[in-house]
Parts: sequence; C-alpha cells; structure tokens
Amino acid sequence: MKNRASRKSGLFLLEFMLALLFFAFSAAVCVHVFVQAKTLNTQSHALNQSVLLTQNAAECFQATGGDINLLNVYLKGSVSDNQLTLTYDKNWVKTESNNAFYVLTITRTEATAYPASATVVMSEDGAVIYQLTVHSSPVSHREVYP
Amino acid sequence: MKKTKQAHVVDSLFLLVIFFVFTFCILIVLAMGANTYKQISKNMVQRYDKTTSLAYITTKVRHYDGMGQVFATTFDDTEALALKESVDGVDYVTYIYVYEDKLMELNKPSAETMLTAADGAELLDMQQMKIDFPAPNLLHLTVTFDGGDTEEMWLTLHST
Repeated sequence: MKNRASRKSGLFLLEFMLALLFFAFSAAVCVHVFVQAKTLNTQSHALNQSVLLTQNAAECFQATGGDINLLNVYLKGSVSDNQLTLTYDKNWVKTESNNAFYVLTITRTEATAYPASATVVMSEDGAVIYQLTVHSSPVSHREVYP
Repeated sequence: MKKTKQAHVVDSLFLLVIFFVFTFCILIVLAMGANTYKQISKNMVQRYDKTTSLAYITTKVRHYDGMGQVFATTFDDTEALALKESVDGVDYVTYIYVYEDKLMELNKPSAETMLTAADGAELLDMQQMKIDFPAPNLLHLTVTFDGGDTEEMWLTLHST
C-alpha cells in the first residue's frame, strides 16, 4: 500500500518536473525574444535618428558651400581642422563631448577643392551607424553668411 | 496513521507553493512581453509620425523649390510655410502649418481671402512648427511632436 502511494507521488513529481522544465525553457526563449525585439527597436531608432541628423548636416554643408566654420554657426559643434564634430547623449540630446554616446562628424575631404565635398558619419562607440557623402551646391558661401 | 496525514498536508502545501511560484513566473513573463510590445508599438507610432511628416514637408519644399517660391509667412494668425506657384497665369499658394495639434495643408488661389486655418486638410499629429531662414538658401524647421519630442530639420533651397 505504502509502496504504491510512493510510486504514485514519484510519478507525479517527475511529471511536475518535466512541466517545470518545459516552462523554464519556454520562458527563456520568450525573454530572449523580448530582449532581441527591444534591441532591434533601439537599433532602428538609432538608424532613424542617424539618417535625420546626417541629412540635416549634409543640407547645411550644401547651403554653406562647404565652409566648416559657417556650418558650425548653424549646427553649433566643435571645429578642428576640416572637421566639425557634434555629440549626442543616449537620448539624442546634444551634449558635451565628455558625455557623448553618439558622435556626428562632418569631414571636408579636400580643404581647397570647389565645389567642396564632405563625409558625414554618425557613429556609436566608433562603430558607424550611418554615413553619406555630400557635395556643396555651386553657391558662394559668402552670399549666404548670416 | 497520523504521520501519513501530516505528510499529505506537507505535500499539498508544497504543491500549492510550487503552483503559485509557477503562476507568478508566468505572469512576470507575460508582463514583460506586454511591456516590450507596448513600448515598441508606441515608438513605432511616434517614429511613423515623425518620419512621415518630415518627409512630407521635405518633398513639398523640394517640389516647389524647383518651380516656385518657398517662404515663411503668417496665415490666419498661424505661422506657416508658404509654397507659391503660378498655374495658367493664376497664382496659387500652399500653406503648411500646425493648427490645433495637427499638421495641416491648405492650397488656395493667392487672391482668395475667405479661407481660414481651420479649412485646411489634416495630415498628421504635430504640436508646433517653428520656421526660420537663417540664410536665404537655408530653411530651418523646429518641429515638436506629440509627447514633446522636438526635432530640427534643415533644408537647402537650390533655387535661391
């Protein structure tokens, strides 16, 4: 009688353990999928913002005729040589370079060439998210200086 | 006999505890999924409003930049982007503006004075749009979307 009862509870425990194992496996898969979805969403948002900001920089570069200093008047970043750098925090708000998470650089490829061309790159920790090449419009930047 | 009864009580209690732990875990996983879905869905709607409205304005400006005039104006006490064109000798103007938290568009002959900002066609949700020209060939828009998210957009005008 006792043996029969213990066999029964043993079987039940085994069944219960299997159900638990199945649940744990399903939960692990679900959590993994959720995390992946969230990562994809963040990446997609970053790509969208990068496209918008690089396009803005490219439009300004075109309008200024490739003058990096004039470009800085509009975009308000930091200029060094032929490069303008803009830095953003995790929420895409402009920030100081020491708090930078995303970095936008506009590098004029040839300082003296006209029409000027530049490479606009948005990166995160050195990894490029989006980049484009832009050529300045054939308008003298002197005419559009504010 | 008493021992067996006691063992049964412990067994049942153990099962009950396990059942509750199990249920709690299911609820946690479900809550996580719902939260992720809610967040992604909200972001997608925001992104759709943002990208669609900015792309719409860009396309309109590009179109009129080639064949007409693009300038900032005030229409019915509302700050508006005006896109002017001439068809068969008649001047038409398209106003793009924000009215009652909606991005609106209104196309009318320049001479027409009866139409108001409320008569425009609603396009998308938008709270505010500031328009300025820091240079004659550079259009700068500062757009505030639902939820207070603000974006800047710069556009080069090639015709000026």
